[in-house]
Amino acid sequence: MGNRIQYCLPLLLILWMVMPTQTIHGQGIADKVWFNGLGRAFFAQDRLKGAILSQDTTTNRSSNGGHMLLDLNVHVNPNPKLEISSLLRFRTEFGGFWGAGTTVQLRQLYLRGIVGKGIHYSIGDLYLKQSRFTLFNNQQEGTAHQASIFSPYSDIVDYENFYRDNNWRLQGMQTNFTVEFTRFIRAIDFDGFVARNRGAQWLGRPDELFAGGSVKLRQSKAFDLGFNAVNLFEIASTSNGSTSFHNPVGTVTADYRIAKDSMELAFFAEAGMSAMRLVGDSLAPDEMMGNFVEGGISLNLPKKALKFKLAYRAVSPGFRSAGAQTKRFEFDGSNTVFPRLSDAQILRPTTAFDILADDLRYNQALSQTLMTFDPKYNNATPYGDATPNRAGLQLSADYAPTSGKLAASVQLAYSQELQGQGTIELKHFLLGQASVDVNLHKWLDWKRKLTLTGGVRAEQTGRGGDSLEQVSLTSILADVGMSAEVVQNLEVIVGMKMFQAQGNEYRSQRNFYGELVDLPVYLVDETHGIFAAGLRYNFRDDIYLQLSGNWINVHDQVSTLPKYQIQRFLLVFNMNL
Amino acid sequence: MRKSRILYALPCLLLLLSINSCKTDDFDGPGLNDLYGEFDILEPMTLSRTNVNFANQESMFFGAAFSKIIDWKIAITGLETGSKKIISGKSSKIDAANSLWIGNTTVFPIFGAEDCAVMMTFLNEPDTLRDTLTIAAPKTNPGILMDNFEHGLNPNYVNWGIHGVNFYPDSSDHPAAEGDYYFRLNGTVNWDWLINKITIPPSGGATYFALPSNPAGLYFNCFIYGEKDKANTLLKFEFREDDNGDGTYTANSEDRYDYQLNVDWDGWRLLSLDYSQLATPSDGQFGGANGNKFHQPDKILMLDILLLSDPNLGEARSDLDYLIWTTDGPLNP
Repeated sequence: MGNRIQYCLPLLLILWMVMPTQTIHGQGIADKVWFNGLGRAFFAQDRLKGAILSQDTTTNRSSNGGHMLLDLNVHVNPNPKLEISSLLRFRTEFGGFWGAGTTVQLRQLYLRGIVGKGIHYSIGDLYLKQSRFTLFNNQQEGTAHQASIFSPYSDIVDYENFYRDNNWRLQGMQTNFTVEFTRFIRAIDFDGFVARNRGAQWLGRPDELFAGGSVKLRQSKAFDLGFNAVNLFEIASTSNGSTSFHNPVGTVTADYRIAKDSMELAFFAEAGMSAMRLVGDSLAPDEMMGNFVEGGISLNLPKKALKFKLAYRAVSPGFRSAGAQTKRFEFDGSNTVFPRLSDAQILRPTTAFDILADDLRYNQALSQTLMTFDPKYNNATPYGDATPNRAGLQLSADYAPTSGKLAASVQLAYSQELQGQGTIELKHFLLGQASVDVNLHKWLDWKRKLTLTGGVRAEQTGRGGDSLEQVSLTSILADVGMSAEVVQNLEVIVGMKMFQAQGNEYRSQRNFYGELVDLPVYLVDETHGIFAAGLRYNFRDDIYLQLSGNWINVHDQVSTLPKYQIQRFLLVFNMNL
Repeated sequence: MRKSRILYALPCLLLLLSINSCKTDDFDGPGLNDLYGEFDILEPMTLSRTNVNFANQESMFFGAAFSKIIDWKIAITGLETGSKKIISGKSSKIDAANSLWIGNTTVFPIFGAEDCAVMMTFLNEPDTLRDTLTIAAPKTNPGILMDNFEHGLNPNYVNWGIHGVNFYPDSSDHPAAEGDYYFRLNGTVNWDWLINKITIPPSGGATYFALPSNPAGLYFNCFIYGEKDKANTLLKFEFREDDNGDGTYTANSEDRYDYQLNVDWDGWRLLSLDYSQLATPSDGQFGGANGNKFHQPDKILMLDILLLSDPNLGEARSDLDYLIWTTDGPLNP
C-alpha cells in the first residue's frame, strides 16, 4: 500500500499542477463538493564544515532527507448553510524502503454552518484568536523582516504547526452571532467556544479544556466596548488524581475613534485580571493573581500614507494567561539537523537557523506554565504583549504610499520590570525595530520585478546594582533580501540573516508549578550568519519551485564547541490551491 | 456630552488598574546573593546549653548567621557510644526554629550520658565550626518496654533450642543500641530455613501484653543489628492473638500477624512496625490465617522471633535490642 502511494504521489502532484482548478470543481456535483489543499516536495542536503571537524570524528559529515506530500482538503456542502471539511495527508519520505515512512493521515476535520439567520457554529478543528492578553499566538523569535528566499521555511513552519495569523488551532466547538439594535447601541457581537487542549493522560493528568467567550458592544461608529473571558482548566474527575489546574482571565476593552477626511484618531484601552491555581495539590503554591493595563492612541493620516501609534502597557508579575503567553518555539527541545556535535556528542545549541527552519521544534498546544525562552533572541517580550513583569511605552510609525514603491516601519519600545528577579534591582529593556520594502522596478519603471527588503531588530537589556546584580545583554538581528525577475516568472533570489548577541544575563528556571526556582548565569558571545542564494520559478501565484544554497555560520565563543558551518542545498516545490 | 464622559472614564479605568501594576519592594525567585554571593560566617556557632538533661525534658539549639543562604549540617557525636545526631538545613540563619535538639538519635546506638563533639559544616565550603556539649542524662522514651536485655535472658522466654544455635544477651562485639546489652541470635542449620526461634510471653505471668485495644497509632519498635557479610540473615516477627479469649492460641482459628525482613545492612537500625498494617499469613500453612482478621493488640498472647536463612548460605547472625511498644506513632529515640 505504502509503495503505491510512493509512486502515485508524484503523479498526483503533476496532475494537480497542470489541471485547472475548475476541472476539479466540475465533477457534476459542483457547489456541493469542492477541493483545495497543498502539495509539496522538500529535499535538503546538509553538510557539516568548519573547525568542528577536527574535534568530531563521530558525526556524519552530511545528511540527506526530504519528503513529498499532498494535503487533499475535501469540502462538502450538503446545503448552502452547512460545510463539512476533511483534510487528508499523503506523505512519503524520500528513500523510504519499501514504503517505510509513508503515511496517510487525517490532518483536519471540521463541520461548520449557520443556524437560522445568523448563528454561526463550528465543530472540530478550530482556529481561535481573541485579545492579545487572553488568546493570541505570538510570532516566534528570529525575524526582523525576512528575505523572500527564506519564506519556504517559515511557510512550512506555519503550515505544519497550524499557525494561521495569530490563531491557535484547537479542537472543540465555537459559535458566534450578532444582535443588532435600532437605538442607542448599533450591535452586540457574541462569540463563545470550548476546546479540548489535552486529553486525559495515563497516571493522573486529567482532561484539560479551554473555554472562553467575548462580547463586543458596538455603540456607534466611534465607540466600542468589549469583554473577553477565557479559562484553561482541568476536570479532576477525568483522572485518578484529585488535582486540577485553573487559569481564568478576563479583560475589558474600549475603543474610541474620531474620523475626519484627512485623519483618523483612535484611543484604545484594555485592562484585565488573571488567576492561576492548582486545586488539591498540597505542594502547589498559593493562588497567583495578576493584572494588566494597556492604553494608547493611534493616528492615521491616509493622505500622507502615515500611521503612528503610542501605547503604554503594564503587566504585573503575577499575570498568567496560558492562551496568550504560550510560546511557539520550544527552547527545551533538541535540533533535528546535526543534533549533537564533537566527540563528546554535545547537544548543539539552538541557532537562528534552527528557529527559522526546524518545524519539528514548534509547539501546537497551550502550556499551563511559562515556557522556557532564550534571552538572546527576545528578552523584552518573550511572551508577547502579555509578558508578565513589564511596564513601558511603545511607539511605532508606518509609511506605505499607495504607489507601492516603498513601505517602511519603525518601532521603539522601552520597558522595565515591575519586580526584580533575585534582587530588588530592576531590569530595563530597550527595543528598536525597523523594516523597509523597496520595489525598485516601480521606481525604475521596469516590467520585471526587482525588490529589496531589509529589517533590523536590536535589543538591549540592562540592570544596575553591584557586580552580582549587573546585567548587560545586547542582541542584533538583521535581515536583508533581494529578488530579481530575470526572465518571466524566474527570479534570482538572495538573502542574509545575521544575528549577534553579547553580554550576560540570568536565565529564569521554573519548576513544575511555574515558580522561579533558579537563576543560572547566562553568558553569551555569539554570531550566527545565514546566507542564501538561489532561483525560484513561479508557475502561478502560490505555486513555485525554489532551488537554493544556504550557508550557515555559527561562532559561539562561550560554548565549548568550535566554530562550525552547515551548508545546505534546498529544493522546495510548493503548491497552494 | 456622552462622548466626553467616555473620554474621562477611560483614563480613570487605566489609572485604577495601574495601581495594582506598580513595582514591588520584594523580588521573585532565589536571591542572587544566596546563589552566587561570597560565603562568610557573620555570627559563629553558639549552643543554647552546653550541659543538657534530656531526661528532664530539656532541649537545646544552635545559633549562627551567614552572609548567604547555604546548605549546612550539624553533626553531634557521642564520644562513648559513637551515636550521632545530624541536623541539617538550608538557610542564612540557624536558630531554635531550625536546629532544636530533643536528644534523639540519627545514627544508632542511641545517646547515653556522655560528652559529645559538635561539628558544623557547609556544602561546597571548607569552613568547619567545632564545639562540645555534655549530655547529663539521655532522652527517655515513652512506651511499653518489652525488654532491653540489660538483666540477662528472661527465664520465661521459651527457646526452641537447636544444638549450635545461640540466643543470649551479649555486649562483647559492639555497643548495644541502648544500655549495655543486646540479644544475640546466630547459628547455622544446613537442612532447614528455620534456625531458631524464641517465644516471648507477657511479663509477670499475665495472659496478654498490656497493650491498648485500639491498634491505631500502636507501633512495635526494636533495634536490629546487621552485618553485610551475613546478608542471608532473615528475621521474622509473629504476633499471636487470642481471638476467642480462651487464654491459648489456636493456629487454625485465630490470627497471627507476621513481619519478615532481610537483615542485609551494617550496624544498628530501628524497626518500627505499625501494628494496624500487619497482615496475617497468605497461605496459612502454619496457621494464623483463619482468625477474625481484626487487629486486637490487647489479645496478643506471645511474640515469636524467628531467625531464618537459606540452608545453603551458612551462618545467619543478627542482634536485637530495646523491644518497645509505642502508642502514639513510631519510636523517636
